[in-house]
Amino acid sequence: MKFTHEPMFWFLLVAVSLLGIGIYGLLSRKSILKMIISIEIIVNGANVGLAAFATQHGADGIILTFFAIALAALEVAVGLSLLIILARKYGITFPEKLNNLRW
Amino acid sequence: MLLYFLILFAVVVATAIAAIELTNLIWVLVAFATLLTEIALFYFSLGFPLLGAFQLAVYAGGVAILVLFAILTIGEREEERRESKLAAGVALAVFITALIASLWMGLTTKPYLDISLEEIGKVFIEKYALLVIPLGFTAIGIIYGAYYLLSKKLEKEE
Repeated sequence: MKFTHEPMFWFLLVAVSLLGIGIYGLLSRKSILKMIISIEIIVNGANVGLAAFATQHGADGIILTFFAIALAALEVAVGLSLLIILARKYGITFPEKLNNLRW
Repeated sequence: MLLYFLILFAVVVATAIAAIELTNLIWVLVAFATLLTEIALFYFSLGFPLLGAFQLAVYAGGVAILVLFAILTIGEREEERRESKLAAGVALAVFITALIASLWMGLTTKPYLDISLEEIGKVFIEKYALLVIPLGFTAIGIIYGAYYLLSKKLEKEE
């Protein structure tokens, strides 16, 4: 099924809802894993917004969404590898205990 | 059509909330993977099959497996919860502001463009192909930098 006659507002509503839920999760959770997942929800909301605008303005939005997805996957890989190393070596899974880089 | 959209929207919002609110991390992963798959359905429905396939492969495939690996490695732990009234307030404020902006921009909808794969490829080659090279170097730099910092730190600790 293709949404070719729906107003673009509906897709922006999806994007905005994901943004709000992601920000809530980012601010209200203590676990690093949940924070990473919240960031991913925000990024996905932004991607849906980009794709929605691409239906109005041409192929640039789709290509930017490709870049955003690739970079977000990279960010998840780095974040999760840091989380695994922190958990295995130091037993840290909560960001409050992560104060080794303070000066 | 609107009903189909509303069902998709309800599932997306429900799974996003479940991914944040559930405490069992395996169920969090299930909700998160469902959310990513539903977003791929949105891309398919918008008429961007390549983007949907990319979302399924990279996010619902790769990222979900990475999160599963992380959960299995660190184990399931109960999390303490932070005072969430302020977080809910900030999230609500952002949501309302963005909703107003969306209303403003989204109501002036032009007819949807039919963007073919050939057009995407042409725009990519003409405008964005050179951008891939610095992006690739940036990606390598990020991964190598994180690895270098951590390995140095672990060496000092040992």
